[in-house]
Amino acid sequence: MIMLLLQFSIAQDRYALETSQIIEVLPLVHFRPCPGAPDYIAGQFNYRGTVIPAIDLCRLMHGRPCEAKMSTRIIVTSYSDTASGQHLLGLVAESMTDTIVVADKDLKPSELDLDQSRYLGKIACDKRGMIQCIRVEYLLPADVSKRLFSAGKAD
Amino acid sequence: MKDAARSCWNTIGVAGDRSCTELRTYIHCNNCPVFSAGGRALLERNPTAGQIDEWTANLAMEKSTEKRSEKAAYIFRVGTEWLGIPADLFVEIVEMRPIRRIPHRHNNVLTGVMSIRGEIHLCFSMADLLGIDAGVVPAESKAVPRVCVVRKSSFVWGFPVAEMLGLHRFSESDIEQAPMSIAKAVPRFTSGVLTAGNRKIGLLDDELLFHALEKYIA
Amino acid sequence: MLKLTLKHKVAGLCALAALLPLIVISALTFYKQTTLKTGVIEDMQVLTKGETEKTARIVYKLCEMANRQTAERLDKKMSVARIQLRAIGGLTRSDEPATWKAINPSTGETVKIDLRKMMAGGTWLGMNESTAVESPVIDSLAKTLDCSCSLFQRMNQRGDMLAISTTVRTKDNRRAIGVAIMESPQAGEVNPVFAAVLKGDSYTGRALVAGEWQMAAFEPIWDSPSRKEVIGMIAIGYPMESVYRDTRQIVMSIPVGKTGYVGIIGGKGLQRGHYIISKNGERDGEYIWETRDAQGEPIIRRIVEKAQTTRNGSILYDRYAWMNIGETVPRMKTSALTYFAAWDWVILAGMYEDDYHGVLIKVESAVSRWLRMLALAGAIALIVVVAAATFLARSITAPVENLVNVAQLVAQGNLIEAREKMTAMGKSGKSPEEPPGGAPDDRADETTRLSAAIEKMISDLRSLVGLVQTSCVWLVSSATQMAAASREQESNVASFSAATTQAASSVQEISATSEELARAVQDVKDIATDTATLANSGRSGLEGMENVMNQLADATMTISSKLAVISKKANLISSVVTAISKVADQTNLLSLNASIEAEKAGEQGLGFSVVAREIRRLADQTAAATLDIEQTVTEMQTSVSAGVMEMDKFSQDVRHGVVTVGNISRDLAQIIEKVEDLTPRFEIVNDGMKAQSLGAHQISEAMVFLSEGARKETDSLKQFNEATRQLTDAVHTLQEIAARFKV
Repeated sequence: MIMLLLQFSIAQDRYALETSQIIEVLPLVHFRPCPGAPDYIAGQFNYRGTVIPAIDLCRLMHGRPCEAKMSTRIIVTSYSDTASGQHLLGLVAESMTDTIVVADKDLKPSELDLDQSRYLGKIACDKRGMIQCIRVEYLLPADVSKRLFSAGKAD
Repeated sequence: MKDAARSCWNTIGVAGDRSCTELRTYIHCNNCPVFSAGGRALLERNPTAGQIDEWTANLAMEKSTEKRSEKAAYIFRVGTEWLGIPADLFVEIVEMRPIRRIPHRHNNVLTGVMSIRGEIHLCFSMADLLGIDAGVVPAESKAVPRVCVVRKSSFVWGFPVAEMLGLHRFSESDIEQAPMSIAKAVPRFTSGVLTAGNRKIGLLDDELLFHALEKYIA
Repeated sequence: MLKLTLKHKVAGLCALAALLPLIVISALTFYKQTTLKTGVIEDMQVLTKGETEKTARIVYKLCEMANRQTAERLDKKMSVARIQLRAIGGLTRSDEPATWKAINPSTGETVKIDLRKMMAGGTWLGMNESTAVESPVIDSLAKTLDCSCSLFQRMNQRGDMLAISTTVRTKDNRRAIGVAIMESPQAGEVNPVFAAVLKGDSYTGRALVAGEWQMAAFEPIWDSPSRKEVIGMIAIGYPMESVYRDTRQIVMSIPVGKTGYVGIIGGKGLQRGHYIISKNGERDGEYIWETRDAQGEPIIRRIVEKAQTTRNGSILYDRYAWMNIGETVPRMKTSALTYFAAWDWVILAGMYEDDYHGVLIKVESAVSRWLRMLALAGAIALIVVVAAATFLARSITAPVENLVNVAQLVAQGNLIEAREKMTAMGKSGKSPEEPPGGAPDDRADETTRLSAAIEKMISDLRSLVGLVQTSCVWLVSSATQMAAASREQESNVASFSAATTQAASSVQEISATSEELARAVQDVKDIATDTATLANSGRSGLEGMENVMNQLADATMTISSKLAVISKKANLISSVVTAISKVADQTNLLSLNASIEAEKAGEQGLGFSVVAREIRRLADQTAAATLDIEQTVTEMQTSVSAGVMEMDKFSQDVRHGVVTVGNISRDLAQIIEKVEDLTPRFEIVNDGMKAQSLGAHQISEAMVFLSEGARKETDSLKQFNEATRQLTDAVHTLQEIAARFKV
């Protein structure tokens, strides 16, 4: 089966997310900071009337925040918290300008299985090199997830 | 040097001496991933001041759930006349291309055939079918001629137009009766007149139109 | 003409009369000796030719005989061979091929050739090289006939033949099979064997059979009794050496003259130029083709080629120098030549010329003895005649010699001594009856009359010379006075002329100098005027330049301001680029979302996803174009700012130029003023100079006229002088002549 992936980079490395998991791609906006949250939580923003949190993937994976470039954009995706169900989540990454088409048989599972980076999924190879899928469901540790979304629930 | 590598299309590509070996694969720089990447380098720049503010403000607004009008038509121009055809007939709009005459079957209306995405389709002249003088073109026009490709009861037709305005949505109540002032042959095929901006548009009745057209190929 | 005294002439005449008969006799004898010798040699040569010709003819006949006998014998044997072959059923060709290596003996080339097997009554004749193994047919035939025997098979249409079975042996004692006989081994020569055999005839003669020269008989072998095609041939023969063995013995034993002999040399092909039979067989087989005599003439080549022009034993002769083994010098020899074509033999019967030298020597010695005797007789006669003639001559010439001496003294002008000598002669030589100095008497001899006349002449001459000497002295003194006077006058005129010339030249110099000065002044004036004109035009030019420079400065300002506008516009483009970037960004984003939407729509969205991708591609193109624009704008801005700087610098230079030009213009104005001031002064000076020059010119002309007069005077004086000098010279000459006579 052929899949369409949205391609982006985190510090020169290419990553991708299945388009079926994406609701919309947005340009970069100002975030309202969340004091006390881990540094990779970029903050919250108003998405057509709904306030949703955003994760800075550069910060998460590489330790430095995404640069404010035109190609730096936000993916609006759906995140399912074990406790409170489906939530909207924003993912910030760089060079988000293209999609790629991959056959799922070309996706090879990553041999590494580190507890801290379970969000890293299968790997595909093309002419420009490797590209690794992101598994949204493992992006947030349970405690962070709980804190981010239970608060929203309480409102 | 960095500039030279970045704009290879100006040195070894189509705008340069065409010595690039990739040209054999991609025919034109426009199809080359290096060219795309080069263009996208523009997006690696910082947005202008206020751009992020603008987006933040835009995004905070509720999505306008404007009520959609139930009917739509593509608006185009033939000669001096602005005309519309129901949008659901349209297959696509392509660039102008050569029309090949059909031996022994050639007449003013049925002008020949043309190749669209590798398929050969019949081609007719809307101006001659409606009796509009196609040679009259408004002087200030910067219009680009196009070919409309339409499908009516499994027949695909192509016809050249002087200019495309685009898609126009409207409701039944927007249709006015055609005044007699519109050019002589046009009223025969129009079901009404629409107003888009300051333009009066003759909405063509597709049943009448293609019925008349089929006579030419019979 | 020899200068001989009378005495010698008389003596010589006598001697000549005595010697002439002797010389004539000697010359006649010498002439006779030469003709005698030539006659002897001619006779000897006729004898030699007869002798050599006879010998050559004998040898030719011998060869002819041996050849004929052998041919007859071979023909007989061939008929036996023919019967034997017929007895075994003849030779046929099977269809089976055999591969032969055919050697062309004339070129040494080897070719492989397939030939059908030659069969004798069902047996293949084989390809037998070994002498130990018996070859069928051929060996038994050879034994019966007691001669060598070979079979050939035809190789091709042309008729080349290949020895396929033979009793002829090679040097390494193998059967000489595989040797081909090619037709026309040398271009242009028809092999007589082929000519006969291919026609179906038999042939007998000398031929190269399986690499060996033989006297052989050939006969064709036919493919069938119907005799359609010659498929080969049979050859029987003897080696050449055995054929002419007897002939050789006879030839070697024939003497020619005292030391001559008969030689045989090969004429054609491989044996050309080889000695076949030599003197005593010493040089048999030697290659002497290139032998040359002392003049470098290739004598053997000449002889062999000459001999081959003879036909059927006709004889030609050749004379040449030849050196045999054991001899140190070559000797002349005459040979009779003929060519025995059947064996290709050049027959050479030669006789040495020195064999008859003895006769010649005897003739020569007799004649030379006769000549010696004649010489002795002549010498004795000469001595006797010369003695007698000398005595007679002296008595005739003594008085004449005395008179000659007197005449010589008179010629020298020594009249006194001449007179004394005359007197002495009269006393001694006069006959008693004749008075001294008396008139010559008819009876007196010629000598006496001559002395009297000379005596009279001497006395007359004395008186005449005395008179001439006196007049000469007088003439010389007058001429000397005249010359002196003339020279004095000449020197006076000359000094006058010099003075005049000097004065004229001085005046001319003055005139020239003043003219030159006037011209110089005029030049200065002209230059000054020109300078003023130039300066004026320069000044007006400079004013024009100042205006132009001012305009230039203004234009520069305009350009600068235009450049500033361009720069501003370029900046504007930069902001457009920013706007386009924004559009490209949004288009890209839109296309991404469109793709995502299309994907979600599944099959329905397929068309839409293509459009989305296309939009993204367009956005990329827009972006690339934007980058290009930006690049261009940047370059433009750089150029413009460089241009602005250049213009600023230029306008500064122009402004500086304007100031400089103003200064120059002012300086020029001052110069003009000064020059214009000078001009009238120059004119005054110039007029004065012109007047002076005119005066000097008139003086100069007068002087030239005067000088011309003086020069004419000098010329006439010189002519007079010359005449005087000539007179003096003439007188002096006369005086000298007169002085020679001692009176």
